[in-house]
This record gives sequence, C-alpha cells and structure tokens, in this order.
Amino acid sequence: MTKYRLLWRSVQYYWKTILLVTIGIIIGTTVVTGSMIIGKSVPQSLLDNAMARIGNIDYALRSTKLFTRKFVENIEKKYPNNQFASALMLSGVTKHSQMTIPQVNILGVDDKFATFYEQKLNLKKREVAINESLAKDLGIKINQRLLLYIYRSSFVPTETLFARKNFEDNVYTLRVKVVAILPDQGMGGFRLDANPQMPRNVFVSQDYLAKQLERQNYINTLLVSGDPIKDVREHLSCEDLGIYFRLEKDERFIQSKNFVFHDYELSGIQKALEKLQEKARLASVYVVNKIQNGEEVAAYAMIGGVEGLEIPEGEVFVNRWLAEDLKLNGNNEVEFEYFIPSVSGRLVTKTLTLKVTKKIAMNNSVVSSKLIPEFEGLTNADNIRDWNVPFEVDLSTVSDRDEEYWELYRAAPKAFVSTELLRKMWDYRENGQVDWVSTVIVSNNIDMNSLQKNIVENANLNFYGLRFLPVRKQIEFTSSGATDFGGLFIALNFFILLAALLLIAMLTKLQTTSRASQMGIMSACGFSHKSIRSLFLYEGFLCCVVGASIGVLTGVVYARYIVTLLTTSWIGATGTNLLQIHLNGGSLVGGGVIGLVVSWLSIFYGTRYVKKHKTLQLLKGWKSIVVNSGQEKSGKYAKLSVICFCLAIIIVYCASQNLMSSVAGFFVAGALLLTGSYYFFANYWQQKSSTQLSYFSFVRKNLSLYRERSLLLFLLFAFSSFLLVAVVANKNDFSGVDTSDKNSGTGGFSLQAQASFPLNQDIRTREGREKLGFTAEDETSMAGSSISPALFFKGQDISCLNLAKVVVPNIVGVSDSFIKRGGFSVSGTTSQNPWELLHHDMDDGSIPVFGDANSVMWSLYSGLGKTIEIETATGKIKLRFVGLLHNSIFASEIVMSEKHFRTLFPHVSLPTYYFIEAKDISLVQKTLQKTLGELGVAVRETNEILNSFIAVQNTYLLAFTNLGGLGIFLGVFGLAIVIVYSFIQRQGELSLLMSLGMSVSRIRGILFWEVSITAVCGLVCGSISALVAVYPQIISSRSVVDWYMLLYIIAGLFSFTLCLAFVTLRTIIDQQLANVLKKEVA
Amino acid sequence: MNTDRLEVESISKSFAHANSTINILQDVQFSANPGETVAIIGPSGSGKSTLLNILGLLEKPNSGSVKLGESELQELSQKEQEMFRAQHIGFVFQNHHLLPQLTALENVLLPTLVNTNIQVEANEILDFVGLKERKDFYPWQISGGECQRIAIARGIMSASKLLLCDEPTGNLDEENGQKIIGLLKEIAAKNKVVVVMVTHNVAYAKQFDTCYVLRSGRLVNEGV
Repeated sequence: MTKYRLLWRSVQYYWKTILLVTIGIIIGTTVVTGSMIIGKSVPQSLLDNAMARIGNIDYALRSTKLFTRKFVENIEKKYPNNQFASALMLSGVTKHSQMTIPQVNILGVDDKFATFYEQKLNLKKREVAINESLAKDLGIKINQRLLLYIYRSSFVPTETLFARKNFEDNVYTLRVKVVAILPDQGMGGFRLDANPQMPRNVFVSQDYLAKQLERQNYINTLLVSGDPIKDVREHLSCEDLGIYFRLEKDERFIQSKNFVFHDYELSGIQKALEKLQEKARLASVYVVNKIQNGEEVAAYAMIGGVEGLEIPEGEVFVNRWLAEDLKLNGNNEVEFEYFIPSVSGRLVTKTLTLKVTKKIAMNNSVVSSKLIPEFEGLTNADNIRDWNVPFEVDLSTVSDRDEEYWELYRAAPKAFVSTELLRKMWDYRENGQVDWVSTVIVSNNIDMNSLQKNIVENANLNFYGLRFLPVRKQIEFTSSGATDFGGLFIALNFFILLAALLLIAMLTKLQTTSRASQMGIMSACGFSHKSIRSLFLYEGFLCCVVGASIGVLTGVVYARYIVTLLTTSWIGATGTNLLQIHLNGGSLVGGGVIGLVVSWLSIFYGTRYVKKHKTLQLLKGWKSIVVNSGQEKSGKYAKLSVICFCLAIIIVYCASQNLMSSVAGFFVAGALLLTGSYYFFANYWQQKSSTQLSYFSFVRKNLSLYRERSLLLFLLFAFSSFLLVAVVANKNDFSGVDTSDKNSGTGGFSLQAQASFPLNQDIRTREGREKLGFTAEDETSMAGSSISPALFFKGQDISCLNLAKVVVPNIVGVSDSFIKRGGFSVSGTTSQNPWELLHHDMDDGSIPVFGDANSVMWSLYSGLGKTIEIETATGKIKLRFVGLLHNSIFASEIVMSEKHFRTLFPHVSLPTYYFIEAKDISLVQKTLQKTLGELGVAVRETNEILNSFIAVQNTYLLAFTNLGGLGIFLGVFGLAIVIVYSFIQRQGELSLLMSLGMSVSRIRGILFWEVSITAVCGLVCGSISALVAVYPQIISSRSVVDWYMLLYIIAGLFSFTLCLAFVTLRTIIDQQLANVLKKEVA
Repeated sequence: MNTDRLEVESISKSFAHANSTINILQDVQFSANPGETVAIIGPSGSGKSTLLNILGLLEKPNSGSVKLGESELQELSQKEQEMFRAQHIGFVFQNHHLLPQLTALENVLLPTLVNTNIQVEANEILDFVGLKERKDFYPWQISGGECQRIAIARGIMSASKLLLCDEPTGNLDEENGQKIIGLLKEIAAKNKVVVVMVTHNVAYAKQFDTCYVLRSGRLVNEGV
C-alpha cells in the first residue's frame, strides 16, 4: 500500500466530484488562456495590418511644403542600394452620384510605389485606383467615374491680402475613372501609422496630378526601403526650401515662394548671415488702391518698407515718378487708400494721410520691381488690367499714366513707409503673428555658395517636415497599443474566473467535507493533519494538471470565438474586422500555468479547514465540519458590516463630488458594499436558539447551520448581479441628452463640422457664407445659429476609437471667444470659468491644455496636473493638463488656446473645426451639408459624436454583459450542485421529516427556499450595491440610464435562478425523496 | 511481544457550557496488564467514549495521566502522540469507517502508510478475522459485520500495545457481535495487547477480564 495507490483509488472512486472540480478548472484556465491569446492577438493583428499597409517601406519623409525632384535624385544617387518612391500626398473629397466622401487621401504615385508591395500599379492620366472601403462608401464600381476635389494649399498666409480665398482658386476638381479597386489589406489600405481605422485612399498618376495642380517637378513625400538616410541637408538646396535669389544692381534679394518669410524661415536665413558675418536689411511691400494729392491720383501702386531708410512716423518717401504724377513739391500731404482684411475675411478700405518728406531717384536700388516676390497674376501681368489678384481691382481708376509706369517699372514701389507701418498693414489683428517680411536684402559681394549652404544648414527641417521618419519602427512601437487587451480581457473575464474559482473552492469543500470521517479515521491511524490535507491537495493537483491542460486547448477555441465577436458584433471595440488569432507558446504555457496555479490555490483554500478540526470532530462526519457552531464573538460581523457600509457611503459621496475618480470610487465602494453585505448575512445567519419553530424559522435555522456554504452561494450571486447591474447602469446613451445644455459634454453646441481643407472664408459672417455659396434661403435656415471656429492640428486620435499608441495627439486651438464662453463639464478647478486656465503661462514653460478625462487616462496615461511631451516643428513641448473634460466631444483631441496653438503650429493658419449652436438642429445640419459638403465639410450632431466615443465603452460593456451572463451560468451551476449535494448529505434528516408526516412537496419547499433565499439575497445585495456604486458615474456622465433594461435584467436573473432551483428539485430530488425513507428504514 | 502495562491515574475531564461546568470524568483510574481485556460499561452520556478518546490521545484530560509502559502519554508533544498512536494504538469504532475506495486488504494496510515499521502481515490478519477470501472486496460489497471485522483487522495492524474499541458491536446482530468479542479476546491473548472496550452491552462486557462501570463520571469496578 502506497500513498500513490491510495491517491489513485480515491480518484477512481470519487471521479464524479473530481470531474466537477476539473470542469471548474477547465473553465478558469480557458478564460485565462483565452484572454492571454487575445491580449497577444489584437496588438499582433494591428501590427500585421499596419505592416501590410506599408509593404517594404522603412522610412518616409512627408514635407509640409513641396520640394524638388532634384532632392530625390541626389539622395537616390547617394543610396543606390535603397528603394525609393516619391509621392504627392494630399487630402481631398470624392464624389460619385449623390455620395460625397470627405477626408480622402489623394496619393499621386509613380510605378515605383507598387514595388514596395511587390505589385504593379500602372495608372494613366485620368485613371485612379481606390481601396475597397472607399468603393463601398461611394457605391462605385470599376470603370465608373468620380470627382476628386483636391486642396492645393496656398503659398501665401491665408488671412492676408494676397491670399487667394476663392474655392476655385484653391480647390482643383478632377474627373477620373476608377480602373482598379484594391483590397483594404496591403497597398489599398496604405497609411504611415498604426491606426487601425481604415483610410479612404485614391491612387492617381503622379505626373498627371502634378500637372493638374500646376506643380510639376514637385513632390511632398519620399518613401524609402533600406538604409536610413542620415544626411538630409547634404542633398537639400534652397530651392527645396522655397528660397530663391535675385540680383538687383549691387544687391542680392533673398525671397520665398511663400511671398513672405515665415518666422522660422527668416530666423534660419538670419543665422546663416550671422555666420557669414553679413549684414542684411528686411523689406516688404504692400499694394494700395490709390495715392492722392488733391485732384491728382495714382491708382494701384506698390509701397515698400525697407530697413535702413529711416522713415519717421507719419512720413512717406516717394519716387520721382510719383512725385511728378501727383505734382508734389515742398511738404505735401498725400492720402493713401488701401485694403485691410478683417476678421470676417471681408476687405475693409482704410485711408491714411502721410507727409511727403523725401523724393527717391528712380535708379535707387529699392525702387525695383524685384523687391516684390514673384506672384502669379501680379508680377507676370503685362499691364494692370491683366492683374489676376485676390482682391477687387477697379479698372476705371487706372489711368494711362499708371499703365505706363507698369510697363516701365512693373511692380517697383512708388512710395516707402516705415517698416512698423508696413507691418501693421499686413497684420490687422492686435498682437497678431502674421509674417510680413518678403525680402532679405544683402550685398552682392556675398559668396552665394556659402550663403546657400549656410541657409540650408540653418534651416529648421522640422518646420519643413524634411526629415525621414522611421515609420516601420514607429508602427512597431505604437502597435503595442494604448490598450492592454490581455489585461482588459482578463478584467472582462474576471468575474467568470472568480466564479470558476469560487465554484472550485465550493466543490472541493463539499467533496472533502463529505469525506470527513475518512479523514478522521486516517487521523486516528496516526496520519497527521498535514499529511491528510496533502492527500487531498495531490488529488486536487491531478485535477489541476488535467483541467489546465484541457483548458489550454479550450482556451484557444474560446479565443477564436472572442475574436470572431470582436470582428462582428463587438466590432465597436476595435474598429477593425481584420483581427486574427495569433498563437504563441508564451500565451499557451502562461495561461496553463496561471490556470493551474490559481485553481490549485482555490483547492488549497477549500481544504484549509482540515487543519482546524480535531480528529474526533472529523470522525463525527461532515456535519460536525459544515455545521456552524455560531461561536463568533457576538456582534463582530454586525460591526464589520456597519463599518463597511459607512465607508462605502463616504466613498460614493467623494466620487459624486469629484473628490476622487468615479471609476476608483465604483470599485472601492462596490467592494465595500459587497463585503458589508457578506458580513450582514454572516451575522444574520448565525445560530440562535428560539422557543418557537415555524416553517420559515426552520428554513432560516438550516441556513445558519450550513452558513459557510450559504455564504459562498450568496457571494456567487451577489457578484454576478453586481456585475450585470453595474454594466447596464454604466451603459451610456447620449441620444436623449439636451445638447443645448452648456454644461453637458457638448458644451451647448448641437453640431460639429470638420473641413477637409480650410474654407478661406469666414463662415461666421453673412459675407463669408455668401462667398461660400449660401443662398438667401440658406441664410434663413441659419437664423439664430452661431458658429465657433477652431484650429486643428492633425496628429493621432486619442480616443478609444484608436487602438494604437499615441505619439503626437490631435490638437485643437480654440479662440478667445470660445474660452470666454466656457461651458462643458470640467474638473480640476473651482473657478467660475475654468477655460480661462488655458490662457495661463506656466512657470515651467509647459502649455496648459484640457483633455477628455477618459482619453487622458487610458490613451495618454496621464492625468490632471500631469504633463506629456510631444515633438513639434518648434521642438519638444510639454503639455500640462490643467482641466479634464467629462464625456465630451473633445475625446479625440487635446484642447489649447489659439494663442499657444499658433506658436506651436505656425503653418496652420485657418480653422477646419467648427462648433455650432443651432435652434433647428436638423435644418442647420442639412443646410451646412448641402452647401459645404462638396468643400469636404462633414457635419455631425454632437450627441452622435458622444455616442460614437461611447460605442467602444458600450461594446466593452456588452462584452462584459455577455461574459457576465456566462458567469451567472456558473453561479447557477453551483446552485444546482449545492442542491444535489445537500440532498445527498441530508438524507437522514429528510427521512426523519418524512417519518414525521411532512409531505414530499413540503420538504421540497424547504430545500427550495433554502437555496432561493440565499440566491435572492445575493441578487438583491449585488444589485443594490451596484446601483449605489455607479451613482457617481451616472451623475458625472449626465447620461440616461436604461432603467427598463436594468429591471429586465434583474427580473430575468431572479426568475432564471428560481426556475432552475425549482426544476432541479423537481427533476432530480423528487425521484430520490420517495426512496429516501425506504432506504433509511431498510 | 508487548510487555507494557496500562496505567490510568486520576483522569478528570470537564467541559464548560454557558455559565456552568459539566464534569464528564472524575478521578478515573485503573490499570491493565498486557494481554488483558477491559470492558467499560455505562449509560449513554456517562463519558465512556471520552475516556476512550483520552486513552487514545484523541482528547486531553484536565488532569491525570495515562502511562503505557514507561511512556507518560500526556507529556508527549502532538507529533509524538501522532507517532505513538501510529505505532502502538489501534482503534475500532462503532461505525467501521472503512474507506470505500480501498479493498478490504488495502483498508487493513492503511496504517502502513504512516508507520512503515509495522511487522504484522495484513493477509495473516485478514485470515485471523476470517476474511481472507474477501480481501479484494470493497466495503460496499460486504456485510456490516464483515466490515467491522476488517476494521478490527486494521486496528490490530497498529495496536502493538493497546487496542481501543468504541462500541464495536453497536451496529451488529447477536451472532456477529459475539464473533467480534471473541476476536478481541483472541487478539489480546495472542498479541499480548491491552484491549479496552467501551460498550453498553453488559453481556459482552462480562466476557472480558475486567469490567468497570462508569457512573456519574466515576469508574467503579464491579468485577467479572
């Protein structure tokens, strides 16, 4: 006789109960293994998909401006082993039939592009290939035609006089034919980041696109496979930076294709000149409608501002031609009339009177047409009447003399004012930041090669976007995701795991207590309690090994099932249907080991009582173990339950007052409430003697006798109902939210519009809307509405809709009026208008921002008062969260003031986000969509936006509900087992009741009420605990709870549990009850 | 061969309940030589099983001592008591407590898992109790009387000095009960072990060498 023989015999004999325990272990291991597999599969799928989209591309350069093909050729020569492909990547809008799809990627590619995917893509002019998703959105097939609206960004700052604002000037329309529909996976889904959201791509011939946009020989993207490109500057020229040079007498003019230099461009040139120890003068020009001296008028003249001329305030220098034209002699005063763009975009006429104090010779170097940078439609016009400029020209005021001047001197300035005055003409806003310098004047003695070289060396390449990003490495990094899916699914499956573990512990206890007398005799034979327990633990370990092994296999099946759900019913959680299972040894072995260990610990817990009981007690059998002696100190449990409830109420209060996170409050309060309930019933079900015995007091006595078993069952049901009720109560639906409520997540805005490209007109004004195509009828529809524009920097979506890790977030810059308006639900400050915090200058140089609380916590891993660091064209910047928005429409982006935004993103000058307050929401939405849809504007209701964000959360909650339902099943399974076990163990007791004349139905009723009361108490306590615990969350989200669904779920739980108890008793027990008495008598 | 004499001196045992003390045993003392059979009779609740449990080191007395040979049993540590029980004391209970998953032979061999020094041959013992042909049967395949004999066989395996029997005939009919009594006397004589039996059956008790009556917690020798 050996221990192993005893062990094996026991396993053979008690195989049924051991099988039940093993089933519990299989369930637990299935859950853990499945979760781990999903945890690996989701990020791996994201990575695989993202990698498929970039093919063999390792690096990408995406410039904010166009650069020359020469730059590409230079690099190709230097890296002959690398694979290169250039592209023109633009954004646009597509239209087919009645369907308009904004925010489409227009990709001008050549033959080399497809080689990254080992494919061929040969597109002729007017031919396009689109991806599957876009084809589906448009409802388009091969050989059908569609319209492309492509935004060609203006070189000139768009809020200035020289910016072209008309739609026709900036948006190119191409009518093309679809020749191929590419699968979304791979080249069709091309994007240079790991965001799983499927892009809408249109591939068009690069040459054809460049020609249509009048940008031949220019590209903005270079894709590379192979070695990293280290020395970008070596291959750059000033032309790539948009800088060119002109010689004027003995001076050199440095100018920009942008017409004016941006601050960063200018500082780069100035640094270069400093290095060469060269002095420079800054200059610019403006156009005036007329210069008048009495009756004498000169129309449409250029005026200049040049450093070094030393023109005092209020004075003007004129050239000899103008002096003659206006018959100026002595100290005349002349009146200037000119346009200034207003906030509304409308040109406002201004006049200015200046005193003429000097006349400049026509051969002076500043009187040069080259002082004006090349401007298509102006500098290349043969006469004034041929001007094609973005402001109105009244040709009736143009005289022959004016044309004569133009013929001889073109755009050479007729007058010169101080640089301060000229700057004000360019920038009409107070504290504005518009660039005004158009020319840097240096001596012609300068070494041009050195100058060009130094300009390139000192250029801020970040500003230009002229740097190669390691897209492959970035995708590998960000694909690991902001969301830990493994941890998330373990959390989602937590209850099933807990239920399985409770079930294992309960079954182990039931099984071992029924063998108490065996333990007693073994102890009497000299076995130590430790060795007796170890026998049961070995049995348990065998179950764990078998159960965990099978559980690993079923875990794979479970993971497949979950992935199927994630790509179908639960697609809202991931946003992609391209997920696949990825099996790896780590998940399988890890899942098996964890399943084994936690199950074994559960068995360890279930056998811990062996040590507590003496041999004699064990010999007396299971009753002496299971029966509660009721010897606890009186009132101990009652006190504990009161403490738990009081603490829970405090936590709920703190969470509802935003003194702590509502999520943390939910968990802590929930745990306290459940624990308090446990102690309450532990106290209530203590044995107490009584002088009377009724049917229900008898039932209660039985509950007290088997208190530990009752409490385990109570816990199973309390947890399950807590979970389900909490989930349903947390499910948000913002459809019914009053969007005009300023303090809601919509901030009082009913609509949000996002433009694919800047509108160039001020949509807030009637004039601006008229220029955008609004009719009188449209104006009537818009009556009572107000629009708040905001600037937008496209980084990465930080909401839960983006699974990939965020490196640079989307950023919105809101105006002063938006800030002054306030609104939304903001935590972190008690000031009346927390938005004013966005104006603050932080001591550490960080920029104050707001973020949506959930996005900040879960995507950016940050919080109130904390900072994150991002890299922009201006370098590394710290953003500090000075306020958190709750359930807001800003879940996808970080919000800062317009002032800070313009400092960080100088190349973004016009708004593309609009927030609209509307009386008649659907009418305003319809109007805006009708007039602006073709301009690439998408208008959405704000509660629809809130619901889209909450869709992910609700999907997780749906998953929670489904998995929680599985947990309920386990609880009910446990209930059935308790009924059967109770019956088997208490046959003697039941036979006694029958011998006393109690009917079968009455006995059945006793058993039924014992389990039902336990289950119902658990369900009630769990439900109430859940509702109390989620109360702060409901308050803060301002969402509408689906009370009908809640009642339906609770009622369903109750009914299902009671029905199952009844059916079990009726089917299994009834048959046996009749035989019980006969057996006992026999 | 066992030469250790059993000496029980001034054993007292009481329990506290509510605000009172219940005296189960008061100053119980007796002794027995190896090979002797001792029966203790008394009404229900007189403390017979408590006394037996104290002798078997399953309970501690409030005062008094139990000596078996030179060993002062109450002074042993718990581990030493377990070891002593495994090596020298055997138990037979009213309910046989056979493990249902083991055969008759395996049940008899159960004590060998703890005490590997047991010299007694299990087959011989089974033969001794008349159940050699049942050695491969499971408890649920044999009668109650046969189960009790197997329990006795198991008790003999570890009873090198003392065999304690608590109402061994309680669940048996006259014939089987008599067989059990005969077996117990034979074991005592053959193995020179002290056999102490607790019973409420006077007829069986009188068949033992010494018969004590436990009355109001005190042991009275009424002789054979």
